[in-house]
Amino acid sequence: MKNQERTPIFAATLETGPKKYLIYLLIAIIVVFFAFPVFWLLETAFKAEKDFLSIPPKIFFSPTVQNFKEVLAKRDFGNAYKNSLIVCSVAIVLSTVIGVPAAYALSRFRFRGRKFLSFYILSTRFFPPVVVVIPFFQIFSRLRMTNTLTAMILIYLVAILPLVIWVMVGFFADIPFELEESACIDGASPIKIFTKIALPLVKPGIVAVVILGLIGAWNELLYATILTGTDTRTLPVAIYSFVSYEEIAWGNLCAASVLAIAPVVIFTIFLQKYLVSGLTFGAVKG
Amino acid sequence: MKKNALKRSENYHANNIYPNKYLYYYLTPAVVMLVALCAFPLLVLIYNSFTDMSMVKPVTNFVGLRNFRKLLTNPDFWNRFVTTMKYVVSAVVIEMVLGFTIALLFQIKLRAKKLLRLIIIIPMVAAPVAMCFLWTIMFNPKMGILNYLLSLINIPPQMWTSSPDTALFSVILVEIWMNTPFVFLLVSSGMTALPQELFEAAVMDGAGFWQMLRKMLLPLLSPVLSIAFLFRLQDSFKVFDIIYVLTGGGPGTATETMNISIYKTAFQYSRIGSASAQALLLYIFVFAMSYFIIKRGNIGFD
Repeated sequence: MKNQERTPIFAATLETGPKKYLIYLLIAIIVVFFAFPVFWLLETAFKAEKDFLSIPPKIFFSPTVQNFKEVLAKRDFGNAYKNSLIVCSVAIVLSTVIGVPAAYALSRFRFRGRKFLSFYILSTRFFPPVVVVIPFFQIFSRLRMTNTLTAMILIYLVAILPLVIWVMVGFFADIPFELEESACIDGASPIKIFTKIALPLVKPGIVAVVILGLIGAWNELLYATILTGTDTRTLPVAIYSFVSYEEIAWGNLCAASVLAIAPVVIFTIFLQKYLVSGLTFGAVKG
Repeated sequence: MKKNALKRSENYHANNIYPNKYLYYYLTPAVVMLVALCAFPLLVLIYNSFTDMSMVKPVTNFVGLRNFRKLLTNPDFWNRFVTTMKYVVSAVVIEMVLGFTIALLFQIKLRAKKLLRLIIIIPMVAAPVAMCFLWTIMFNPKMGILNYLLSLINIPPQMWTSSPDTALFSVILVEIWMNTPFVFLLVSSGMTALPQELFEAAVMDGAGFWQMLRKMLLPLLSPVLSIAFLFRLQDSFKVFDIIYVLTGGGPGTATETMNISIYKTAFQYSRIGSASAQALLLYIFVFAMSYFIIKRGNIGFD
């Protein structure tokens, strides 16, 4: 997103005259609405039990890291964190490795069925996950692969793949083909042309799909609930099970949540500008 | 900003410089994965839906259209459909209006705009399961912060997700909190890319704010708005985790959408056949709707 120096003309009237203060007030309300829950999460994570159970709720309290200590001491939580890291990173690497060349082929070659194939790839985004989770469960049970990280990797791999392909088709289409043509005339091999000329030009697209893929896989609950067991559970499932077993350990739950969302929030801070094209399958460039 | 990637590449003649085998090298792994884990599961689902398959019953019989007939004549099914539609329609409408408004307001000069923008998009990227538990804590009728805040302005305590009357509203509130940032982000990026000259001319001609909004801003942004609309519509039909974590479909069946019901039928009541039939109906519905919007809406997918 471009950094704006000047207020666009259509919005200029919003910051003139006394109604400016009304606009500021509205913005303040909006920001509070979106920020308050996250603020409350941080508060509760740093509260001692006596503080988060007090009525009325305490805004000021002496912070403690006790909750974080307790969460990190749980073997389950560390294990789930590790599982999530493995599953997400392997899935995202594989789907990029498989998806980027496919996108290149779709944007550069003309062949029969290309339109159908690209619409089919787009249409996999229409699946409600709950629709495919039933056959996934059957297939992976048959293969004796439930409760394995491999199954989760495969599922996230295909879940991310359509995103990778669609976003990357857009990025490849934006780079002029003449570069590759002249490289070809100079005698470069097709593989070289792809890796040395086309790939470096679409780096922003790759960053976009990697972030979006990571966020999606990192946060996914449904597939993981059905297909993982105690040893292979990922972070969202671990957080879910916190509540079922320990009823009202609010402090622990919030500390675990803070640790779980930290990586994606950090990613988002640094890579905000790539979010838009990733979020829209490349239909809108940020 | 919006573009038609595939159509544009129509003019390229990559086939002339690459031997055809490279097409297969590049494409095959992806197609194999998509067939194995997207097309094949769908076939399994279709097969399931014509059987009385159950996880607790060893024998599976072919039952033809019985699952579908039973579903379509079952008032519960239609109740869930209505709940789903209530959820989807109110969520999408509010998210579109609110997201657009916030994007517009954020066009003015603001201190720390980048930080404020980041604060607004955090709900969208943070793990929904964690955020929903956070809301559960805030919704708690006795000890939650929300009722305390309401008491400060003399509003009586609410039951939130614990009462059938307010549960759906509460769930939609969380959905809006989580997904409005998506619309905001898209529309913001669309507004940044608008040509200023057009608006300069409009101001010269004496156009006011509302006129510019209606006659120029909305039409110019319609490609971005259509995409935001399509994606929000699809995703709110897909929503599972928000409802699963906040209410599990209850109290009673107050928040039982089709997604939740499919999940329960399959994995709590073990009735794979019936769940698959329901899932297939949902899929066909979402597919047809998306297809219609893409074909009619002049969206950059072709």
